[in-house]
Amino acid sequence: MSLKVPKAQNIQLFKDGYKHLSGLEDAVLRNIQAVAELSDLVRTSFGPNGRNKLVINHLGRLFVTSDAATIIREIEVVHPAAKLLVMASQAQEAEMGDATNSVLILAGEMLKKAENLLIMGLHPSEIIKGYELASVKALSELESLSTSSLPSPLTKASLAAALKPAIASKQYGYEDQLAGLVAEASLAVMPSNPKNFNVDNVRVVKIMGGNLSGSTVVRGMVFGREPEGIVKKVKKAKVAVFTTALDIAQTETKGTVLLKNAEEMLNFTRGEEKQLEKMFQEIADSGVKVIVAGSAVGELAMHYLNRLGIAVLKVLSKFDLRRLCRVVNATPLARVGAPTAEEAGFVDVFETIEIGGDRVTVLRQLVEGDAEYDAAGGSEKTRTATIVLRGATQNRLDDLERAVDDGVNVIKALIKDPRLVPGAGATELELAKRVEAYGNGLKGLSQHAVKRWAQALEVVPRTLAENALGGAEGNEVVSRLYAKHEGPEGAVWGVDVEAEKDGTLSATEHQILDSLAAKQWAIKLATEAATSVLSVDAIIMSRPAGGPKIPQQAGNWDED
Amino acid sequence: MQRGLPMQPTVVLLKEGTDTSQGKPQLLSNISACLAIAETLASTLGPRGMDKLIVNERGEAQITNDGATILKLLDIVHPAARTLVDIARAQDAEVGDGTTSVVLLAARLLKEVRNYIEEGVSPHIIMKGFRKASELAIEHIKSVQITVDKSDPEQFRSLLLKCASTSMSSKLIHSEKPFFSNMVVEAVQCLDEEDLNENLIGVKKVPGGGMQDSLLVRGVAFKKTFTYAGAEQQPKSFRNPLILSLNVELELKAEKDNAEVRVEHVSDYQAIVDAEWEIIYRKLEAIEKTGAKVVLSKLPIGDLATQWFADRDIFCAGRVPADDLQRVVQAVGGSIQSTCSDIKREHLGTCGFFEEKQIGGERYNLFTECTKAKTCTLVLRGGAEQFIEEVERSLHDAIMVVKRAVKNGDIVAGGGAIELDIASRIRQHALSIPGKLQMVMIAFAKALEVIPRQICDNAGLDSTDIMNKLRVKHANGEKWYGVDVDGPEGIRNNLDAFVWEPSLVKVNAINSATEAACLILSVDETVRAPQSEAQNPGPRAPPGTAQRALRGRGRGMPRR
Repeated sequence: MSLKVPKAQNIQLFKDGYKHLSGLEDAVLRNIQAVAELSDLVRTSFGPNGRNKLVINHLGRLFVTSDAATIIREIEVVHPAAKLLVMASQAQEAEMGDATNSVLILAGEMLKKAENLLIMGLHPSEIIKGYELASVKALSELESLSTSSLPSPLTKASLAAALKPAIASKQYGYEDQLAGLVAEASLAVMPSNPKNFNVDNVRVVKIMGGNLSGSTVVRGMVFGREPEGIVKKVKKAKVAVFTTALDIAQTETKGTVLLKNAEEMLNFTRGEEKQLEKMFQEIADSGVKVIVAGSAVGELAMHYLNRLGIAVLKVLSKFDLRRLCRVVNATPLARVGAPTAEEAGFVDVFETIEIGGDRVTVLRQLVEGDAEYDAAGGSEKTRTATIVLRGATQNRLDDLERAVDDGVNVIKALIKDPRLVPGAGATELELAKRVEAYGNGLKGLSQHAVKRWAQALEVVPRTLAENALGGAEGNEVVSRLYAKHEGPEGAVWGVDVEAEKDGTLSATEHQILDSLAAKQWAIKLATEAATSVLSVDAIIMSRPAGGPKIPQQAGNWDED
Repeated sequence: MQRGLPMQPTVVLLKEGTDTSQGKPQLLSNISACLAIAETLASTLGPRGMDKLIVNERGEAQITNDGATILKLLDIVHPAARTLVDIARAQDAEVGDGTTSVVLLAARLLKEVRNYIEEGVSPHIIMKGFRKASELAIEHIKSVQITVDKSDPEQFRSLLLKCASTSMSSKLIHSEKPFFSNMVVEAVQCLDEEDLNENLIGVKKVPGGGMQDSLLVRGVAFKKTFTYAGAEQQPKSFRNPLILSLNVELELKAEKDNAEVRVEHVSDYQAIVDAEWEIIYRKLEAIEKTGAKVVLSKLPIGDLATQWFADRDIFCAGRVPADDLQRVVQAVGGSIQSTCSDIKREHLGTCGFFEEKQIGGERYNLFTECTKAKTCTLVLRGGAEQFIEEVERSLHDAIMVVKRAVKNGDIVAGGGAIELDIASRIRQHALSIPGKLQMVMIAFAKALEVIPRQICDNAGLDSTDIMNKLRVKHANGEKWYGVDVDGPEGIRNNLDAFVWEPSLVKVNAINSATEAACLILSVDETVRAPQSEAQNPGPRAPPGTAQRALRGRGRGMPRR
C-alpha cells in the first residue's frame, strides 16, 4: 500500500470548498468502486433473461426497460469516473446502436480485476500497458473467429435470423415476431445499394391496446390524425406537398387595404374568393387528389378543397413532412400553386382506418403480392416504412420501440460489416482463452495485467448464465465452457439460457450470431474507458457555483 | 460485494436524492400495490357490483362502476400500479368493456404467483408459463366461440341485443336493460356498416324526467342555440326542408380586419354604410335563392339576419357546435359552406322532418327521417347529473360491445362461464407437462377463476359452494355453465340464458392482463430520480381509496 506522508497543515492551495482527492486509496480505488457499482446496476439487465428496471426520471416519467443505454441516461450518474463509462457506452450507442450493456459490464469488470493488482502494488501505468496489449491481441484474434457472414442479396429470412439475438436480449420470447417485423420493414426501404441504408427510414408508431401479434408493417407512413376535409379515402392519387399554410396570402409587413368607395368594398370579398377558387382549381386541374399541408388550412381553402374532392392531411412536424416526401416522392413546395409533374408525388392508397380505438391516416404504396397491385401502374417504391406496434401499456410500447430501434441499428451495422461471430458468450470465452495463452508467453509485469484482462472477458458468459440460471450456476457454466472450448470446433460453444442440458450449446447450430463489428467496438471502447479511469490519480472538484438553478431543457428524446 | 478494502466513506454514484430499491422485497411490494388497486375495484364487478362515489379536488362528485373511470379518477402515483391503469385504458380504447375484469385478472395473476416468488422461483419461468398459458387460453376461446350467422337480420339483431344487455347488467341501468339495449342496438345499426365510427352517435344529456324518458333520435338533435329577436316568428317545423350548413357569420361586420375606408364627402359616407348593408343582404338573398328552409351556421347569425329569415319563413340557428353541425351534414347530406356565393343544390341536405321540440326543460332542434342517416343521437334523461353521466358511460360500454359484435360476430357465454372453461382446459394441459411450468400454469388457471368467484361474492352468494358446483359441470363438458345471480341454484347454462359477450373482449382482456403481469414481474429494480422541481404535489388522493394503494408502497431493501 502506498505510503502517505502527512501533509503540512494550513497550506491552502485552492479556494475554499474545493475537494482534492489524490493517491491510490482516495482516487483510483474509489473510482473503481463507483464504476463497479454502476456496472453491477446494469449487470442484471444483460442478456435474454436480463431483468427489467423500473426507472422514474427527474420529470416523473416511467420507464420499464432492460436497455442499458436508456437506464443510464435516465438515472443521471454524477460520479465523474462512472461518467467516463457512461460516455463509452453512449459512444457505442452512437456507433453501433447495440451492445451498450456489454461495454459497461466489460469496463466494470476490467476495473474490478485491476483493483486486486493495484492492491498488490502494481503501478496503474503497468496495468494500462498490459490492458492495451491484451486488447490489441484480442482484436486481432477476433478477426479470425468469424464463422459466417450475412448472405447477399438480403432476404427476409436471413435478416431476421441475424436480428434475432439482438432483439432476444431486449424482448425475450417475442424475438421471432419482432425480428420478422424489423426485417420486413428494413427490406421494404432497402436501397439498391444497401450501403446507403438509413435507419431513419424505419419509423415506429405506437398504438395502445391489443398485443404484439397485432403489429404490422406499413409500406409508407401512419399519422395519428384524421384528414381535415370530408374526403377520407383516395386510391392511386397524385400528391402535392406544401410547407406553407393553405390560405389567402397574408402580408408580412403591416399593411391596410385602402377602400375608396362603396363599389370597391362590395367586391372585396368576392375578389378574395375568386382568387382562392382559381388557385385550387388549377391544382385540381393538374390531377392532384391529395394535398399535404405543413401548416394551418384556412376555412375558405378547406371549403374549396372539399368541393373539388381533394383530400387534405395536415402534418405539422417538419421531420415527418420530409419523410412523407420520401414516401410519395414529392418535392415540398413553399408556395401554394399547381405542382409540376416532377414536383408532384404519387401514392397508391390514402385511407383512414381504425386501429384499436385510434383513427389514423395511412399513406402507403402497394407492392407485388398485394390484392390491387398493378405492375404497370407506375407505383413509387416507398422509401419509408412504418412499424405499427401494439401493446397493452405505454411502457411496454416504449420498450418494444427500443428493441426495434436496436434491431434496425444492427441491420445498419451488418450492412457495413457483414461478418458474424458466434454469440451467447462463445466469442468472449474463446478470446479470453486465447489472450490468457498470449499472456502466459509474455515477459515482465504486464503479463499479470494481460491475464486479468482475459479473465474480465469471462464476465459476459458468466453474467448470461447467472441471469438465466441463478447465481451459483455462473462459474459452473463458465468452467464447462472452458472444457468444451478445448475440444475441436470448440470456439462456437456458448451459454444456453434455456438450460435444457448442462447450460451450454453450440451457438452456430442454434443460429445465435452477433455482429463482429459490434463486439470489436465494445472491446475497444470498454478498454479505453477502463484505462482512462485507471490513469486518473487525483480528482479535483471545484465547489458548485451558487445562484439559481438553470432549468433543464427537457428535449424530446425522439427528436432528430 | 466483497472488496479487499477497509471501510470507505460511501461513494456517491447517483444524484443526491435518488432512491433505488431492488431484489425480491421490491418485487413483492410492487405486487402488493397492484393487489391494493384490484381490491378497490373488486366490489364493482358483476351484475350485483356496487358503485363508487368519488369526489375530486374541486368537490365534484362522480358515481360510477366503470373500472377505467374509477382508475382514472383515483390518480394513482405508484409506478407499478400505474401499469394497471394503463391496461384498463387500453382495454377501454380497444374494446370499450371489461375494464374491471382486466385489472382484476392482472392483479390475481400476480397474487397467485407471489408465493412462488417468495420461494425463489425465477420470474422468467413464471413469465414463460404465463405466456404459454395465455396462448392456450386464446386458442381455447377461438375453438369454442360461437359464430353467429349474420345473414338472418332478425337473428343477428337478437344476438346484438343479448350482448348489449350482458354488458349493461353490471351497470346502474340494469333495471331498464331491455329498453336501453334496444336503444343501443338501434343506434349502432344506424351507423355505416363499413366504418362504425362511434363518434357519430351523439349523446345529449337533459336532467329531469326518468330514465325511461330517454329517447333515440334517428338523425341529429342538438340544443336550441342562442337566438336573437325574430327567432320566435320563425316556423318551427318543416316537412322535407332543404338544409344549408354554413361556416359564415351573418352579421354586420368589417369585411377584413386591416381594411380602411377613406371618404371625401359626406354623401360617400352614406354610400359606404349602404354598401355594408348591401353585402349582408346579398349574402342573405343568395341563401334564399338556394331554396333552403333551414339555415345552420357554426358562427353567429345576428339580429338582422334572424329577422330577415323570419320574414321569409326560414328557420335559422347560429353558433351550432362544430361536432353537431358535422353530424347534421352526415345525416342530411350536403356539405359545410364557407361562402355564400355559388351554392348549388348538391351542397344542400334534406331530411324528412325537422322540428323544434321541448324535451324536459330544454328546447331541442331535431332532424329526423334523414335520407343519408349514418348517425343518430341518444337523448338521455334522468334525475341527477351524476346519474345521467353514469348512464352515458354505461351506454358507451354497451355501444362498444355491440360495435365489436357487429364487426366480428363471435361470442362466448359470460357470467364467468368462459373463464371457468379456459381454467379447466389449462389445468388439463398443465398436468401433461413436467417441471415448474406446471405450477405456473395451474396458478394461471386459478387466477382466471377470480371472475366467477368475485361475481358470486358481490352477489352475496357462497362462492366456494358455487365454484365447486361449476367445476363439476365443466369437468363433465358442460362448457357454458356460469354464475346465476338471480336463480336459487346459483348456476345455469349462460348460453341458454343469453348472457353473451363478444369473444374479442375476453381475448383482449387475457392478453392485456398477461402482458401487464409479465411487465411487473420482469422488474428487478426501481430507481427513482429526484424530481427536477417540486411541482405542486398533485391533487390529494380521495380518502380511503387511494391511500390503500399508497400503503403498498414500501420501497423494499435500500441499496447499500
